Amino acid sequence: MSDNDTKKPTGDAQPPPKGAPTDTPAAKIGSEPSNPPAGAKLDNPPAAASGPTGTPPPKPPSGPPPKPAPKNPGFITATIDGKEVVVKPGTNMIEAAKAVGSDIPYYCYHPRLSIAANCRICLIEASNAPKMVPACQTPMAEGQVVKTTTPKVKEQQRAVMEFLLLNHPVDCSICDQAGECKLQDYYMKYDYRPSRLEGTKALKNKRKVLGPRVVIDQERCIMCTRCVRVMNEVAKEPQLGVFGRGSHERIDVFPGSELNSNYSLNTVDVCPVGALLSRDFRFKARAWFLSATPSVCTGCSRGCTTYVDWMSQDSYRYRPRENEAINKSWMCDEGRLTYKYLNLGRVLQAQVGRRANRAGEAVPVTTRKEAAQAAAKALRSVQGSKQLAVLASPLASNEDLLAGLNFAKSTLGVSTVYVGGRPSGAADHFLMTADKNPNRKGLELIAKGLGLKLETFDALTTALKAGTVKALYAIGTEVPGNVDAFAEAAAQLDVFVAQAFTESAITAQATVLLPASVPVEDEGSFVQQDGIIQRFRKAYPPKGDVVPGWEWVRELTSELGGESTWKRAVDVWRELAGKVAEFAEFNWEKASPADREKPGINPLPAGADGRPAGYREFGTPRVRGI
Amino acid sequence: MAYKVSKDPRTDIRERTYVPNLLRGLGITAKHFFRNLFGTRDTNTQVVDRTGASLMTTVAYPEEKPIYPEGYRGLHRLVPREDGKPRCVACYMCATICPAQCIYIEAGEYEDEASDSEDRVIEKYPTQFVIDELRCIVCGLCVDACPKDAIRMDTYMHTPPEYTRQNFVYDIPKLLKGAPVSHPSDPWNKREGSEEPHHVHKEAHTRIGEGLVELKLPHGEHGGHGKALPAGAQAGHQAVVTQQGPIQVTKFIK
Amino acid sequence: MSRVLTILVAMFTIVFLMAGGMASAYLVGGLVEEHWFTGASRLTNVLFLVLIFVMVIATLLTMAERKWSAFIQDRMGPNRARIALPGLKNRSLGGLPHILTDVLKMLTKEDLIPAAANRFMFNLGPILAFAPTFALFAVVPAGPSVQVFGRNVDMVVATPDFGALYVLAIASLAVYGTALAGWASNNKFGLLGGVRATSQMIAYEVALGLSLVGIFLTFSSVQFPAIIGDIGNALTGGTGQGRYLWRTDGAFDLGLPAWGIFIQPLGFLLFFAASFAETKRAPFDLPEGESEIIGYFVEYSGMKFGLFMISEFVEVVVLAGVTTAFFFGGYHLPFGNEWLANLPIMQEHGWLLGTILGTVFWLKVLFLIWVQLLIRWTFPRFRYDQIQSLGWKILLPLGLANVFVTGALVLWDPSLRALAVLGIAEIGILVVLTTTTKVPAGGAHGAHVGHGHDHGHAHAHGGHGAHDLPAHAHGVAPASTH
Ligand code: SF4
Ligand code: SF4
Ligand code: SF4
Ligand code: SF4
Ligand code: FES
Repeated sequence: MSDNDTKKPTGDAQPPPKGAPTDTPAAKIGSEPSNPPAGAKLDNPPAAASGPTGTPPPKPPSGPPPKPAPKNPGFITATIDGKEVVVKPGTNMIEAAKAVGSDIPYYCYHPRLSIAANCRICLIEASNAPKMVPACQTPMAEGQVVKTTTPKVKEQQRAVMEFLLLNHPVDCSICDQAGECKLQDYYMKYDYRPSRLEGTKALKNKRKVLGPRVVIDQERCIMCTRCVRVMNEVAKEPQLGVFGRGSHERIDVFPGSELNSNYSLNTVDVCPVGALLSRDFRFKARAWFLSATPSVCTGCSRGCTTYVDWMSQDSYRYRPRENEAINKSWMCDEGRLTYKYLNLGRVLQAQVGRRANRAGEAVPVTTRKEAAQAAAKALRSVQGSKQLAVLASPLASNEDLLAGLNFAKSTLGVSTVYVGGRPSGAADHFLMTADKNPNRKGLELIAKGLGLKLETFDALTTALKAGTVKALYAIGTEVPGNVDAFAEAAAQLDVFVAQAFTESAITAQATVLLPASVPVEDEGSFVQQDGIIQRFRKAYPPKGDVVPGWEWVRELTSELGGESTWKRAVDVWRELAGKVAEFAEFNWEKASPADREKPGINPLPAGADGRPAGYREFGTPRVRGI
Repeated sequence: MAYKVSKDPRTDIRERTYVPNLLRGLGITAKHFFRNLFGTRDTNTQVVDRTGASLMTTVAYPEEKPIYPEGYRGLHRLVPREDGKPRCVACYMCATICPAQCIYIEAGEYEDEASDSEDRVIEKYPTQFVIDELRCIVCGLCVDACPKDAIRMDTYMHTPPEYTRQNFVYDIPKLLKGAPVSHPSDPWNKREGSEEPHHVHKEAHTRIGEGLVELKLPHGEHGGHGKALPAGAQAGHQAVVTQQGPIQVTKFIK
Repeated sequence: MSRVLTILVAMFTIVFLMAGGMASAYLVGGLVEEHWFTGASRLTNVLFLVLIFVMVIATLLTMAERKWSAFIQDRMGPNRARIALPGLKNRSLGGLPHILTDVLKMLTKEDLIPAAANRFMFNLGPILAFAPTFALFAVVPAGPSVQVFGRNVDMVVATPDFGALYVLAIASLAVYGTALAGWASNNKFGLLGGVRATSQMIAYEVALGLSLVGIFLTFSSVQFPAIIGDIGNALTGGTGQGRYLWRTDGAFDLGLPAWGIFIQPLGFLLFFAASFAETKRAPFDLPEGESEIIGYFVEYSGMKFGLFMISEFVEVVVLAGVTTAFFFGGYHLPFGNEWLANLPIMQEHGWLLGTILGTVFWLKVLFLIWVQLLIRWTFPRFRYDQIQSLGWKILLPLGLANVFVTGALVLWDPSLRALAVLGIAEIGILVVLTTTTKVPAGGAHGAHVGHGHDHGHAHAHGGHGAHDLPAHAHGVAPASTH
């Protein structure tokens, strides 16, 4: 449902890793020029090109023009709306026009998909064509003069809009796409007239469940076939097709099958209207209530670049954010739905003493200060002892790990760190990897940089069984093994200080439980499996008593007599990243777009605090099913 | 005091001696007193329409209530459908426009297999619809914003007093009242369920003129079918020729 | 129409109740005279006059003030307190239940004493304000002295020789309560109120006394019974205000009674204004001045505040009683007085005459109370300097002039007829002035006549002053034409 195909490139430009896919759309559209100017991208022609030139190029003479000599060798020079534009050969008109600030509307075109040219709203006038040409399909030609705002073009756009809306139900009031719908936007921009339809509209399926995650409203579909192409070309699982003709044409799954690909939600993203909708997000929020914050998917070690859409203190969905190096414009469904752990099952309260031992009793309120003091007291007794082990989770951010492992080494005096994290799962043919932890690479780099030895989780289980470990300091309580077995083993520990964000049998065994924040509640960075470092931003303040992991470390350090003055995650990075060679070149401050980048979708103007209406009377909004 | 004021050349003996004018003042108050003491109070609730000897303008509130003027923005109501459920589809338009942020909505989805055909057509409905009438500034924007004619302020009633703040938070049972409303354009008047109708191929639904409904035009009298109107009779209109003859269509100026 | 009937019934009920009250006062007085000792009726008079009549009227006044002010201001007045008795059909009963709720409120409110206040003085304040107003009424006769069961019953508590002087003396005592309350509250506003009350009292005390001197001269007495006078009979004419200046011959007496209002209209105006100032009610409510300083009782709450409140209303009643006695012929009827008293049945049953005349007295009192409330709800409050200049610069000289003119005329014509002619002329001028409006030509004449009145009573017969300022009066007339 996102419009991410129209996004400007984000600041996440990273050196592409070795094995990254190379089938860029550019490869489909035209051949790469032999010597592209530095920084030139598909939709980023040379800077000189975008500026308006004082002298418009001479009008091409009538009749079959002699092939003009290229003005800029190796590039195409043409004129769009009176402005000169220099692009790589093969660049289509839409991208070229974008470069000079002329917006050509489009529905079926997607920079990362093949060209279908079936919606016809992009028709514009070109000097070398007798009729209007589809801008999405036509590459720029040398000396061409393109006009996108003539009355003829405008009338064409209006006519296309009228036809598209002829049978469209316009039930925006119950349509999840409303607010980020191209039909709405273009209607306001290019049509803005009442319908002249006098008969009844064609009735189709309004609510057909296509698969476990996608539902379609065929009436709203404008038959752009983006969804079909996405399934064919990106997911490479052709599960959708076009059926019927004329007014009865519709998108559907093939009989007897369903849309169950792990990339099915990408069809929802590319659908320019509200035809394909996510069943998970259905009716949960209106798009304009949500704010978007640049983030990173924590579902697997691919680390897809995302936006997290949130309201109040809840996350509602992930959307892929364009990143050429990692995920292009796509995401897998499984990762997309992992946002739920940000909201539910969270550890929100600090706790001293094992909760498992006092089931049913009222939990005494423990302040953060008390918890930090209790943790420091417990850890002081085992400082430097061989019985103390440290468990680090590759789900934690670089900053948490830097702070925590540095603390473990210099204050607690350990030299080995056991690696926890989510157990491995299935990988698939495109993006999803088997390692379900977003920051294993980061953990490895940091341990190396700090000179700590990494041990597997199994080693820890063995040590626990052997009884050589009596105290455990855990940065994250996810374990790759059997949770209950580990919880049982942890019950034998004298000291178990755990920073955790999700409740589990293990957190119930913690003698001191410190609630830690999840990625959307603080900023930080991850290193994905190919070594690309990515920033994620803070969307909203932590829930409950939660503070970021590095802040717990700061508290513990000062309780144990050390000194630590970190105020923000960046302070941790500045102080400690120098120890890790691989982090040297990463510019933390500049590494990601600013917070809340989502044009058009902002918190309510009246409630600048981002609360939903009526929030005060109901406390935290109860969002179904998140 | 008398010396100073009495030097004002505009005063005359009545003012300068005070007592006559004081007595006249007493006369006026006494007149009011007796008219109101003996006169029968007209209990017409529109004060301006009151006649009778008594001059009282009081409206004895709980027993007499003023009649609110036409178009009075009163207490909200959620408009019910014919089957008694709210017309509201939880589109959040009212919550979005509300400058006081006093509308809280939670949306739900009707089951696909819902027995009630109207529900099957609607899909979305409010599981929670709450207006905090204390925060409401009675601007009426929510009524304007509603695309479904589902919220109205036509109760001609102000928010009644309550003993607790929480009682001013109106939920669906409190809001859903009044006469049900149905429009020809309502989905349940057009189809049976949310699935594709079986007879769809037989129905030439796009043939011009079929199922023609009265066009709602700004100038209602021009809306009749087949009425031959001179093209361009009115500025801002253009004639659309149909099988029924030209029909005036308002031209939207961008 | 039903509204008129209801009101009339209510009024007659009030008259009837008052008559009943007076009848029982006389009868009980007679009984105790007979069975206890001579003079015992004075004790029962305390009970009936002060505790029942004054107190009940004052209590009802708290309500009446609100209801009447509502009528004056085109409102409905308090009507929400209702008694859920089946027969009452949930009617508001003219707001009467509000009295009950008021009492409940006053009694149940917290009694606050400021920490910095002088507790003794603070508590003394309301009592000092309340007690003298009650004591005032002791010398005012509410009915004639008649024979009941063969005993003489006076409808008065005490008849000291210094009569009216007692009124003046006790009235000035009341200011101690006010001043004390203001001072003892240890509150700036309270103190301001007390100071204002004191200076206002001093300013008007003089005018008050002077305004009565005319009456004393006229009736050659300071005693209430002498000023009110006796009803004449076949043998002797009436005395005091009971006599007639001119009367028809015949059994039924009709004529101009020698009431203070007729022979001392200026004295009445002065007295009424001055005593109004003494009661500290609007337009002389500077010591309270709710809108500027809350007044001397700012720190009082509960029943202590209630005492101030009720003493104000008692003052209203007492002032009406005193004014009636001095200027409205006390319990005398304006005519038919002697005829009534000489009826055989009246001679036989003295208490019957007493009842009738006593009711007449209370009716006059009620009327004057109503006038006071009317004034209170008509005129806005004076500015403080205006209060002082009114007292010292207008009332005092006018009072002095009144004393000299009255003295001269009484000496010249002891039959008081000359005085009455002057009085009637003054009233006439006032009436003419009040009923005419400024008209360029016609009204100017009246204006000239009135001017003489303004300049004092040396020009006894108003018209003489007419050529004082003709150019002036004519010159202004066009400017103020409506
Ligand atoms: S697809 Fe767009 S235009 Fe159509 S109903 Fe949904 S929001 Fe409205
Ligand atoms: S479902 Fe959406 S993406 Fe697919 S053809 Fe229809 S409009 Fe296009
Ligand atoms: S009337 Fe105005 S303030 Fe009240 S609920 Fe509607 S939009 Fe909100
Ligand atoms: S605008 Fe109307 S339909 Fe939409 S949520 Fe409000 S009341 Fe319901
Ligand atoms: S975008 Fe060019 S035809 Fe659809």
